[in-house]
Amino acid sequence: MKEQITNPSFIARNRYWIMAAAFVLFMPPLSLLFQFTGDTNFCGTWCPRMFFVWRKGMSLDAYFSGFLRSYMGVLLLDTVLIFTLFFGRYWCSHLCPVGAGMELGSKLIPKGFKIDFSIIPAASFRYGYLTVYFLASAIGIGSLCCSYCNFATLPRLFGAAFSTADLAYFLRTAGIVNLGMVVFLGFLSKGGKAYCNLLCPVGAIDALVNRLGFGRGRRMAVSANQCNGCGKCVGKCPAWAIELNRVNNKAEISQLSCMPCRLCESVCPNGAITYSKSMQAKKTEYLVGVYETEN
Amino acid sequence: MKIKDMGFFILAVLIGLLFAFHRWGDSGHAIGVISADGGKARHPVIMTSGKNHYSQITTLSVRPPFCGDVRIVMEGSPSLDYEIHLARPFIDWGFTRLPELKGKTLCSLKAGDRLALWTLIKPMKKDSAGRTDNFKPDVSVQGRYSLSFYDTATGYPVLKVPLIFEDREKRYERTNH
Repeated sequence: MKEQITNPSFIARNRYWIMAAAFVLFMPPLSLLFQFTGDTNFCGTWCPRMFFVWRKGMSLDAYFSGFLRSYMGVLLLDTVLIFTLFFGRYWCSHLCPVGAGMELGSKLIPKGFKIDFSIIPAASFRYGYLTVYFLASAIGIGSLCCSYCNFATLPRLFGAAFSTADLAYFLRTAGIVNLGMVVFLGFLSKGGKAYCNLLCPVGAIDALVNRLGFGRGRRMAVSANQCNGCGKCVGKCPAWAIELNRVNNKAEISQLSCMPCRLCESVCPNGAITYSKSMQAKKTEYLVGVYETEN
Repeated sequence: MKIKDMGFFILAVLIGLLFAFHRWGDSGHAIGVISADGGKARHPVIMTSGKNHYSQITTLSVRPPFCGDVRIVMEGSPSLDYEIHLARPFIDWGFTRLPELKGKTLCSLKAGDRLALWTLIKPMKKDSAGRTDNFKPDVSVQGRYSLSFYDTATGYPVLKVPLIFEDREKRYERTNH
């Protein structure tokens, strides 16, 4: 039976406006949300990417004091992960001001200058980098936490026009390297999400939770009956999460990379991609698996 | 796992290890607590000799009962040229009181305040006549310095953050954040 094609929801239709709003609330010159706790950016109270990393020689007290120091970051990350478990990665697709900054910035770059990084298997690269992110600190060979941080770089990039302190971040080699990574993997990448897909530890953990929650919450899903294998969604996906199954030529969404930006939904000519309860999608995935095994 | 996936996993691990192991040497991060009993820096900042300029961020919190103004001085010999910048929002919505930096003095610190200070350091030395208005670049600065914070009311130190400039070889033997 053919499914009813529904109009995209408010969240899907207004994604860029939501991203812009998140950007304005978090980023300079307003930095509105940070100021409730007396901060100016993600570093410190709001840091969502360092408190959970164990460092060699660290006492248990020091480890947990990191949670207290970054209490807003802890709250932010917990909220994001719980939300993701039930509704998918809306933080990464709609709300993250850092991802939004890079994606919106990439819209300003002419297509001819864009680099297509989608040849890289995002999940493999991401979890290789995340492994070192945790292990390097734990065994004491160094740290990727502050030295290479998108959450530190992007707010300062926009703040540098207004504040010498933010400009100072870029007056050192590490700052220039970080800037290069944001420009190369953000602004210049096709879709603007290469940094998010490959190097962001928050995105990597969020994607794991997204996969773990598959079957419980709502996710993007392809109706195999309606998919005609045109592949329009594959090229449109900024998370590089969609592939055409070589056996049945149907689109498949990797829940280890998907963020519900809903761009695939908007380009599907048959309305085969929907944001729905993932239990049904899980059954479909199981059936595809059986089909592949038997053939 | 496909060979391509495995290859990129290993590539990411190698890139991550390279990033984690390599230190640029011209910047550092210190964490300190300002308090009336002399304060405490979590660890020294170790930077590599021979750079044209350095950038150091110090994140600070103020422990009660300290309050007041604090003068910041870079101590060590030969003297270094340095600037200090306090991270503050461009548009202050006034939700919380924020300390101010006037010259090299932090004004109106109160218990519980948290600050991020950027110190831009240029290794310069006095000329042969000892004139301070005729600094020359000295890119081989070495040794121990400290970013010191003094209570302007009493003159007592409320925090000293050690800064060490040393050769690359020595630097890699240490653990530095």
